[in-house]
Amino acid sequence: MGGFRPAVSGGRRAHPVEYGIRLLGVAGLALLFVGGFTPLANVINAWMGGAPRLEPAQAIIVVGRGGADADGVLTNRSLRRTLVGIQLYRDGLAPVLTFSGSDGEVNARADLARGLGVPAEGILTAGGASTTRDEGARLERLLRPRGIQRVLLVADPIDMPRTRRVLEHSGFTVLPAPTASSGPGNPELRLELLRDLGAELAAWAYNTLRGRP
Amino acid sequence: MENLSIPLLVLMVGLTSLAAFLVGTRRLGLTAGRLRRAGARTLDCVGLGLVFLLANLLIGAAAILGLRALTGAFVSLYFLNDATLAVLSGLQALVFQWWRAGRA
Repeated sequence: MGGFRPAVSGGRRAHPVEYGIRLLGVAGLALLFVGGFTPLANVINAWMGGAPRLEPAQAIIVVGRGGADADGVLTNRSLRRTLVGIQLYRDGLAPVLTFSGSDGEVNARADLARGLGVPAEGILTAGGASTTRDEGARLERLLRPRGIQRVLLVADPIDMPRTRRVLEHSGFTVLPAPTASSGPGNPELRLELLRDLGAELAAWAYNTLRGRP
Repeated sequence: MENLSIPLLVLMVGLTSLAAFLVGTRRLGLTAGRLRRAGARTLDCVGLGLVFLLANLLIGAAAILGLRALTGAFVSLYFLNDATLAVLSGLQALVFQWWRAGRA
């Protein structure tokens, strides 16, 4: 038996590694077609977001996602979350709108919220965070001393389970307000969503291994 | 007209594949057996690409975690979530596959 050789040498028995790699290829192509050409990623995404509970709360929390560009312009995802948070505030569901994330992101969001008519005293910021866990700790320090416990959490469906777990671990009662989206309809964006789902799964596995929420 | 991308993709790729098949069989004298082998080689290449991708991700994650441990500074694992890595892994697989094929 020779070493690991190409699978396409006619007639000879293939090495088990060759079979393994070919099977992996089949799985990869299947994932490409199922992920890109069916709504699988959208279904998983919607399932992760869960059912919204848009009920009165003591604060609205809009967690970070994607940050802001160097010139202070929010990324698409960050902007969408911010607008949902502002809408919930305008609907009167909570007296306080809280932004967390990196400094650049929370400042850009607060500026936008003020520009759209949210009074400065209704806005709280928990900047300087670089991870979801860090955001949870900063939000706990900011909001719990103010007696805030029941919060509306604005996050993308894909981020909802982990963010919710982190905030509940910090003592908050969380009402999910996922950014409403049935998910993308074209293959490229569906595959991007699938990649994000993979990253989220990896983050969950990493945190579980380390015994973190 | 909202979700035209999937049928359009299928149409474009289907037509060019059919054209390539006709050119291959009628002009270049290629056989269906060779097409099967080409398909199998493509699967090998995709599989190898996934192996490279996994290896790249593992090395990247180890580098980031090592950097965190050594410097105490926070470096996000999200740096690994870059589509370019998949393209580069695919290229690695292609080169490796051609290299191996040259030995056969």
